[in-house]
Amino acid sequence: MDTQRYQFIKDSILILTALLIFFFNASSVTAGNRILSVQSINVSPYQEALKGFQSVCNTDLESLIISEMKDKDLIKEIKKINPDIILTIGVDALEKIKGIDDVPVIYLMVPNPQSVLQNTLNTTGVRMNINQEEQVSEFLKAFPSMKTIGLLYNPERTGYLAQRAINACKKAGVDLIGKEIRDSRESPSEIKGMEGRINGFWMLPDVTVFTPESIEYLFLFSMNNKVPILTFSDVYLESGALISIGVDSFDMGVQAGGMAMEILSGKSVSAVQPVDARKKVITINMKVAGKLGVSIDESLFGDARFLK
Amino acid sequence: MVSSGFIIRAFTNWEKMMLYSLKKILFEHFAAKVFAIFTVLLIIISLAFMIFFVRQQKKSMEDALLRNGSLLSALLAYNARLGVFSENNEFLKDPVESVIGQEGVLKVSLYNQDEAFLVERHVSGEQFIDNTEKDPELKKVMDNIKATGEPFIKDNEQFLELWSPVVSESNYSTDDSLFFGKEASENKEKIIGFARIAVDKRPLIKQINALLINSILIAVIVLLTGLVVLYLLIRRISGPLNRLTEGVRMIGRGEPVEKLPEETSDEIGKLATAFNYMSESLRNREASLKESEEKYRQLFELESDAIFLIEDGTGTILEVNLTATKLYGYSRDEFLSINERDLSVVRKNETQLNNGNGISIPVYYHQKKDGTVFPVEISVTHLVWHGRDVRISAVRDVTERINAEEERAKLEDKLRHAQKMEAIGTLAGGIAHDFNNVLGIIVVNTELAMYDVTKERQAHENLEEIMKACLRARDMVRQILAFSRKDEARTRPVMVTPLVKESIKLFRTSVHDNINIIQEIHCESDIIMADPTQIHQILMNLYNNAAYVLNETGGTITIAMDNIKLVDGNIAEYPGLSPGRYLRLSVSDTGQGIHPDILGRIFDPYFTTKKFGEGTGMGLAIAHGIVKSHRGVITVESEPGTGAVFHVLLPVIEANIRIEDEYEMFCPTGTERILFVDDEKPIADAMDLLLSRLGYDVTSKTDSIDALRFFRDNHASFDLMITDLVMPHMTGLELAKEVFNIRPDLPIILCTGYSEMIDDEMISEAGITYRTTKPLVISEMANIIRDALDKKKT
Repeated sequence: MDTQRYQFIKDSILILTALLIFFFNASSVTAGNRILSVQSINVSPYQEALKGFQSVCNTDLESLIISEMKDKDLIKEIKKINPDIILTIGVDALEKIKGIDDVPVIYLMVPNPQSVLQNTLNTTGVRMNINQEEQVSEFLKAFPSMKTIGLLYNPERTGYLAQRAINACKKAGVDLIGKEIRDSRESPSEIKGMEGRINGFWMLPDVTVFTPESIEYLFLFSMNNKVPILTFSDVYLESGALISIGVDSFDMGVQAGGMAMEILSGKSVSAVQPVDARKKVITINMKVAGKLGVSIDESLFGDARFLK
Repeated sequence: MVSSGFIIRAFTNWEKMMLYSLKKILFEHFAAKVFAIFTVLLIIISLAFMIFFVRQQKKSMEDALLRNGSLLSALLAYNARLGVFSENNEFLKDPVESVIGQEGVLKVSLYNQDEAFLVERHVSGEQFIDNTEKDPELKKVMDNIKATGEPFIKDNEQFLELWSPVVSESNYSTDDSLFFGKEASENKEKIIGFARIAVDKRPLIKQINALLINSILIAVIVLLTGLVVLYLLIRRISGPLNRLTEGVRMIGRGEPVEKLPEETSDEIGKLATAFNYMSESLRNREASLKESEEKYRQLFELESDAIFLIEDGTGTILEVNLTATKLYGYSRDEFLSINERDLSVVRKNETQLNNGNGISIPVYYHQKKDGTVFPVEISVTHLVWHGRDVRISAVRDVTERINAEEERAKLEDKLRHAQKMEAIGTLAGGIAHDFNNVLGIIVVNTELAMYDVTKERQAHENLEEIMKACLRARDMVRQILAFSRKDEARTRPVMVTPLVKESIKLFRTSVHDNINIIQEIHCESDIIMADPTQIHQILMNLYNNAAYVLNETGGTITIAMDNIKLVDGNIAEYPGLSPGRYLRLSVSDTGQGIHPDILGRIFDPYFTTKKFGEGTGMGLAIAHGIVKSHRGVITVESEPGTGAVFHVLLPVIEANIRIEDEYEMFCPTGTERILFVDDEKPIADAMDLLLSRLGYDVTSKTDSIDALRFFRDNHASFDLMITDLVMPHMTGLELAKEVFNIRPDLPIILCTGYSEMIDDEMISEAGITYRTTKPLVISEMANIIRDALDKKKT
C-alpha cells in the first residue's frame, strides 16, 4: 500500500512538472518544432498512446504507420520530414529507426526496449511494463495461496523482465520456477514440465515463449491443473487467464509527451530517463476464478475491472 | 434398324406363335394395352428410381465417407497442432488415438512442415499394403497442399487417403503485439505440418452392394405390387367399360338395353350414369324419330298427290309414295327401275288449268301402267338429298278438275242461258202484264158485246171465237209466265180431253210437214185435279221433244189418251203410285230412240242431247216436276232405232164435280157501290160499264191519287174497291193501304196483269181481300165481287 501511495505521489509530481513546463514553455517549445510519430501498426492502443502524447505535446506532428507504408523507405521519409523528435510506437517502429542517431527518439509501447536497442544515447521512452513487484502484489491479492509461480522466458528477449520478476517474487516470499527457452516449440513441453510444481503462472510478453499454440496449451494447462495465470494483457482473460495487469496506453502517451516537452525545451535525451508505465490497468476474470476455485475479494482491487 | 419381320423370323415357330398371340391381344384389348404400357412404365420408373436411388445413396455414402474422412483429417490436423508444432509425440498421442479409433480409419500419419515423418499409427490387425512411404507422389502431395493450403484427397481402390494441412495461426511478430492479441497479429495462417489418414472403402462398397440388392428387391416388390394393383384397377375399369361396350353394341343392333348398375360415384359410376341417360335419351329420341318418321311416312304415303323423288339430270326415280303406286299402277320396285321419262306423254295442244287466282297452270300428260293417259299437274321442289341434287315432284291427277272446269264452263253457259231466260221471263212478265191488260180490254168488251148479241146470231159465234182466242191467248201468256215462274199454279177439276185436243191443234201449226201427228183419244174418265196451264205445258213439252227428234228425218208422233187401273199386278211398273184409276197420256215418236246409257237421265234438269242453243234441257224436267206435283208419274220407254214413248199417268177424280166452263156466263149481281181504279182508261171504262150492267153503282178512276182523294171525301159511301196494281204516282198496294186505314172494313180486290211484285204478306198488310190476275172474264170477276161483298156482310 505504501509503495502504491509513493508511486502515486511520484506520478502526480511528474505530471504537474510536465504541465508546468509545458505551460511556461508551450510557446517557445511548440513553435516551429516538428515531431514525427512512427507507428508499427495501426491498432487502437497505439492511437490512444498517440493521443495521450498529443494531449501533452501539441506540436506539429506528422505520423507514419510502417504497416501501411508498403515499399516506402522509412529512413528516407524520416529524413525528408526532418523531425525534431521521433516518437516510435511499437517494437517494430523502434526496430526500424535503429539507424537514426541524430534525432531524439522517444519510444512508446515497447515492453523490452533493451532487446531492441544497442545505442541508447538518443533514445528514451516509456517501457510497456508495470513494475513487477506491483504485479506480484496484485497477483497475491487475487490469489493469496499462491506459493510457486511458473515462468518461461527467452533470456535474450525478456531476460531482464524475468530477473525483475524473480526479484519481485523473492521479495514477496513466493517461489518462482523460471525456465529459459530459446525455441517456441519448447514451450508446451516446458509448461507441461511444470505440472504439479506450480500453482500460478506468470506470462511475460515474449514471442519466443508464446505462440498461439503454446498460449492455447498454457490455458488448457491452467484449466486442467487449476493454475491461475497472471498475464500482461486483458486479451488473454477470455482465453482463461485469471488476472491481467496491463498498461494504460493513453497515460503512457502522456508520459512520453512530457518527455518530449523536456527534450524540446532543451534537455538532452540522455537526461530524460526511460520509465515504466506508471498507470496499471487491472482486470480480473471472475468466471475463471470460479472455475479455478479462486475466491476474489473485489474490494481489494479498487479501480480494477471485473469480468463476470 | 432391324425390322420387326427380321426379328420374328429369328424366332422359332412356337415363339412366333406366342408373339403373334401377344400382338393380337395388345391390339384388340385396351386393358391389355394399358396394362402393358403401365407395366413397362412401372419397370422403367422402378429401374430409374432404383438406379437413381442407388447412385444417390452411393454418392451420399461416398460423400459421407469423404466428409467424415475429411473431418477426421481436419480434426487430427487441428488437434495435432501443438504436437506438430512442438514435434512432441507426447502431444500427438491423444489426437492420433482419437482418430485411429474411428470406424473405417486404417492409418493415421503426421508430418512436420519439412515433410518429415512425425508419427504413424495403424489399425491393429488390419492387413493391407501401403506403399505410400515409398511413393514419390508423397512430396508432390505435400507441396500441393503447401501451395493451395487446401486438403487433398487421393482415391485408391480399397481406401481413401485424406490429407489435411496442420495450420498454425501466425505467430506474433513482436513482443508488443502479444499485448493486443489477434488485433495485432498478422492473421496469416501458416502450415506447420501435414496430417494424413487412410479410410477403408470396403465397408462402403459392401454397403453399396447391400443397398443395390435391397433397392432391387424393393423395386421388384413395388413393381409386383404395382402390377397387381394395376391389374385389379384395370379390371375394375375394364369391367364396366366392357359392359358399356356391349350396351353400345346392343344399342347399335337396336336391341333393348338394360340399365347399367351405378355402383360407385366415381368416374366409372358417372360414365355408367351418363350411359344410362344416353341410352334412355336414344330410346326416347328413337321413339320420337320413329313416330315422326311414321307420321311423315304416313303423310308421304297418304298424301293425296303422287310424290316422286327424282334425281336431277338423270330422271331416275329414287322414291315414290303409295298414292303414286295406286295412281299409276306400278309397284314401288317397278317405279325404282324406270325413269320419269317413261311416264311422260307429249301432247300437241297444251292444256292450261286455272289455279283459282286467274293464273294458268300448264297441264302435262302422264301414262299409267295400263296405258291410260291422264292429265296431271306437277309441282316441283329442288333440294340436296344425301349429297345428290334431287327434286320432289308432287303429281296430281287433274282429270276431274279438267272435267269439272269443262262442266263449270257448261254450267256457266247454262247459267248465262238461264239468266237470259230469266231476263226473257222478266221481260215476258212485263209484256204479259201489258198484254193481259190489252187482253183484258178485249175480253171485257167481247163479253159486253156477247151480252148484246143473241146466241143465234153468227156474230155471237164469232164473239165466242174471239173469246176463245182471248182465253187461249191468256193461257199462252200464262204458259209463258209459268215458264219464267211468274204464274201460280191453280188446281181445279179439269177435263183433259179438250186440253189435249186444243194442244194438238196448236202443235200442228208449229211442226214441219214431214211430221205426221196421230191422235188416239179413248178415255172414259178424263177429269183430274190439275192446273190446266201446267197440263198444257206438259203436253207441249212432250210434243216439242218428239218434234225435235223427227225434225230432220221426219216421222210420226202419236198422241194417245186412255185410262188405266193400277192394281197389285201392274202397280210395280209405276213406282210411287197408289192403286186406283189413272188417266194415261202417251206421246210416242218414230225417231232413233234413246240410248240406254242416257235413258235414266232424260228427266234430269239441264240434260239434253240437243245442240247448244236449241234447248235448255229443262222441258222434260219441268214436265216431270209438274206431273209429280199432280201426284202422277211420267215414264219413258225406248230402244235405239225404235223411237220413244212417254207415258204420263195422272189420277182421275170420279166425283161428280162441277167442271167450270170457262165460257159459262153465270154472273152474280149486286147493288153495292164499287170504286174501280185502273190507269188504263179503256179498262176502266169497260169495267165501269160491265159492272154497271151487273147492277153495281160504279165509280171508276184512272188516277190513284185522285181516287184516294175522292175516297177520303166519300169513304163512307163505298162498299168495295177494285184496284189495279201497277199505276203511276201511287200503286194499287199503296192505295189499298190508305183506303184500309180509312175503312178497314172495306173489301179490296187487287186486279193485276203481273203479280210478281207482291206477296201474301204485302197483300195482308194492305188490307186486300182478293187478288186476281188479268184478264178476268166477267163471270170470274162477278163471282169474286159477290163473294167479297157477301163476306163483308158476314
